[in-house]
Amino acid sequence: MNLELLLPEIVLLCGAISILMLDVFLRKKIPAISHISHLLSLLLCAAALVIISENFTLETLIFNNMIKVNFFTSYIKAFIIVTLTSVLLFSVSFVLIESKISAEFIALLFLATIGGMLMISANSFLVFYLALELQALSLYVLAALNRKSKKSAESGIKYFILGSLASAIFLFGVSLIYGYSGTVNFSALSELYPKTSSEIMKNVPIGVMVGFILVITAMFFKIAAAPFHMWSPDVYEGSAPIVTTFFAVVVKFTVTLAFINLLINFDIRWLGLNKIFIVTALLSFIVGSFGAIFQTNFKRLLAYSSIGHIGFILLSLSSFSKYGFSYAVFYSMIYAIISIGTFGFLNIILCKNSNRHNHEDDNESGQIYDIKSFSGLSKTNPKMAFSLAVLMLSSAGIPPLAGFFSKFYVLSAIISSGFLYIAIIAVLFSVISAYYYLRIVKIMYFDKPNNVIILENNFNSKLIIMIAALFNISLILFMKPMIAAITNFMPAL
Amino acid sequence: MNLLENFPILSFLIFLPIISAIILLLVDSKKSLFCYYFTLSSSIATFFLSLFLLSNFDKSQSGFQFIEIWNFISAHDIKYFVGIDGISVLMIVLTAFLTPICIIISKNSIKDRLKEFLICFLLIEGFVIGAFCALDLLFFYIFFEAALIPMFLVIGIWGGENKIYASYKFFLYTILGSLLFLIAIIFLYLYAGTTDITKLSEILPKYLPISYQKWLWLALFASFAVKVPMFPFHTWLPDAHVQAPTAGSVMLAGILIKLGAYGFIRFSLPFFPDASLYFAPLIFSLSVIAIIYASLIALMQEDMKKMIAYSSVAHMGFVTMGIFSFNRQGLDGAIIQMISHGIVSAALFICVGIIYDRLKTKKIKEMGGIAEKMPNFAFLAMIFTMASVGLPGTSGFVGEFLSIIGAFQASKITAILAALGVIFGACYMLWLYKRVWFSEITNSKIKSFQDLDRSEFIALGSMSILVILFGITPNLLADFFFLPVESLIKIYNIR
Repeated sequence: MNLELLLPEIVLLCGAISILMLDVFLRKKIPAISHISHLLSLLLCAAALVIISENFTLETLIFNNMIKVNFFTSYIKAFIIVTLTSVLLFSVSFVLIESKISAEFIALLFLATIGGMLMISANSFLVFYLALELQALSLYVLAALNRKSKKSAESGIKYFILGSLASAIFLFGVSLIYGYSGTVNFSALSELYPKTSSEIMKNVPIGVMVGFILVITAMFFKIAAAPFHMWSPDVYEGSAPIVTTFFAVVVKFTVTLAFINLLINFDIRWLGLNKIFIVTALLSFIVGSFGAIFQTNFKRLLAYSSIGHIGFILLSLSSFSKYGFSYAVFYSMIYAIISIGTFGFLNIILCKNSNRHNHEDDNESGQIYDIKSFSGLSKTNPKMAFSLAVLMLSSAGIPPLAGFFSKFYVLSAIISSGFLYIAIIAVLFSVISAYYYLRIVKIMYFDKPNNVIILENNFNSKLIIMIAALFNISLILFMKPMIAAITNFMPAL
Repeated sequence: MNLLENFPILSFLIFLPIISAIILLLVDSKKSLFCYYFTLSSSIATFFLSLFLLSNFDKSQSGFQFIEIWNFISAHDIKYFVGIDGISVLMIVLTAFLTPICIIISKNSIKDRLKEFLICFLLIEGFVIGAFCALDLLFFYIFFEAALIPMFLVIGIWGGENKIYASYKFFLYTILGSLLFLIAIIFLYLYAGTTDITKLSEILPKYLPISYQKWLWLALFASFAVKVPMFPFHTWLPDAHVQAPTAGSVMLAGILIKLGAYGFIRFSLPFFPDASLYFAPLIFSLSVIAIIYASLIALMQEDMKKMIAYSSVAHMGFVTMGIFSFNRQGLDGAIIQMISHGIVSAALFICVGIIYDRLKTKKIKEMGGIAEKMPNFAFLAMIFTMASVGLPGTSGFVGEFLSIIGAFQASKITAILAALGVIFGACYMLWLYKRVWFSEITNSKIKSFQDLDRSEFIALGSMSILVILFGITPNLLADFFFLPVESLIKIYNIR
């Protein structure tokens, strides 16, 4: 059975359940216990990952070939645990305010993460779908968690309706694939339709092709690539800041990696599908850059910018080479770290007048997340302003920051697969996006303070944001092992 | 010499300013005097280190010296690879010379957020030295681009009324050009399998087909032409200069725009000789347009700083013209003009800054008769004006004269038109000098003027000595880049 290979997920699941249980029985007596329990389960999960990666370096399939564990998945899962930990550290003040639902909140974070981790390990469409739904259902609740805000309820419902539609499309695609090929297992499917052979291409049943297209479309929705991005700015804006952070950091990363994991198994060039990737990437650039220019709300701006970043990831995937996939993974990791800083910054913004978190009041939150409220931050809070500026410039892809290298590698992947013109277009769009990233820097550094917001004096959050910024500055020093690890363990295509 | 062989002097030069900037970041910003002296001593130390480098530089050796390779960047053949030849060593010394001057002159004029200002300058210094040393294309690009951010902040935070527009324009223009450069770098990397400049300049001229050469040349041109700036990409420069604080203008005119010309010499010429020959007429016509057009615009300016900014465009026209004449006189002239213009335009911007600090205006109309109250200043300013005009005996003459001779061999009409530009140059500079330093005192503020204080005198005085020194004995400079230029010409002589 090799159940121990699923130990990380099992530990997290036990953690989620025990947090709920402890909350029911022990909260009044020992309030600190819930904090200890979730940190403990994270530690155990990390330990389990270390054990697995040391003992099972070869790829192992378990549960009737439905789940796949190898070094690469362990590596990715470890990264997910790191990002989840940082989100949990940001959530401290949210948990204090919303103490009544804090246990549910953390349990949902865990469940969504477990869903993501299972998705990455999935070797069958069935497991993939179940994991996707486990994550998605948790996320619908999380999006609406901000109970007193109308926008949050709206975003929860919007996300639920559109998300279920995407899931239905996914399931429909899977049923078509199953109907025409007789299997939902990734390994079996990739044996039926081997990679890069034009002979087979003609023999692929139309149903399988349509099925794949539907599956990919559903995944585009999940990673919020244009033109399936409509939900993301609204959901990002409406949710509580900590939930937005979780969406942008953990969920985006897990779904992207799960998508990559799905694509590794199939060389879908036999469908000509890489052109779909390019078109989607270009649309994402357009939506991401032009959409963000006109945003005044920082949350929406970040949502649009993340659509633009997804464009880069898709572009890298469109090359369908080992390096293209590796660089897509690298890009997602760098983007996740940048997001920890930029989205994490949302959590420490307080309204000056009321001196509290106001994710509950829609008017007020619209006001404090307006980018103009950041003006003069470099004078009132130089360290945070510096960190945010570094993260913004890194997103814009200015060397020697991390964002530059991730873009550089993606561009080299697409140029090497012959899409020189696409690379030039990508570069032009990144000039446009540099404009709005610079606008944040400009507001913080060039404008006079207007004292709408103050920053929460929270050591954890500030430390994480600064670490994220430092990482972006110093990536140049330890990029080599990071890329080597990804390319070494990326299965050959 | 044995000691020197293992001493990573170039890395010291690059990282001394950058590490000083990081240390400064940790200092309390209220201790502004400490910050000032710390930065000054660090930049002076860098300057002495660069002089040490200059004195140990072996002029008789062709190829790159002081090479350091450190393969820690990535799994591919992209590495930290620095080394210098006779062209880059001079640019490094120029950078290290101008930075302490920038810092000295900012002491009184920058009152707000001095610490951050100094950090920006140290970063610019480190990045620019890095760009001049880099022998790996990607590393050149990283340093080239990284210097943008601190300059953007310098213009945007400490600039004039219209600073935000100017800083955006500066940033977006430059980044658009350099991203095309990035695409070219990636293409070259995939084509040749390396980003090592020494290897690329052996491989590319032999094997790269001319059709590729043309496109890649254009991509590099987009980046360098914006940086130089050449007509018609020059429009960011007057805005940036007018809005930037004095030290920012000095840095911009003195060093940053030289990176563009340096890029032409270091990359475009040796990598793509056929394309360079093919596009030389384009460069010639753009250079001539820049010289004449920018001079005519300069004549009409009412703002003194804008006038000098346009004169920069004209003078850089001589540089590009000299580079693309592909002969010894032209290239020598271009490089001497780069250094001369680096000193002269920097000094003229300092002059504007000195007047602006006292008068709070840059309008030429409101000046006049400054010579009466500030004789020392007027004398030094006269030297720089003459150098800018190209009077024999100053460094400006050598540069312009040689590049015109070079161009004359390549294309007579270009040289004749460019020589016409020299006349225009004399018109606006002399007229400017007359209106600002001579004529009647009309502005009552000028009556209470004091002459230069010690720091201003040191800054301008040292620069004026160099201007005359290089004007009388240009061989001091030319000896350094004799061999690198020789090897460049060799490529073109066989074609």
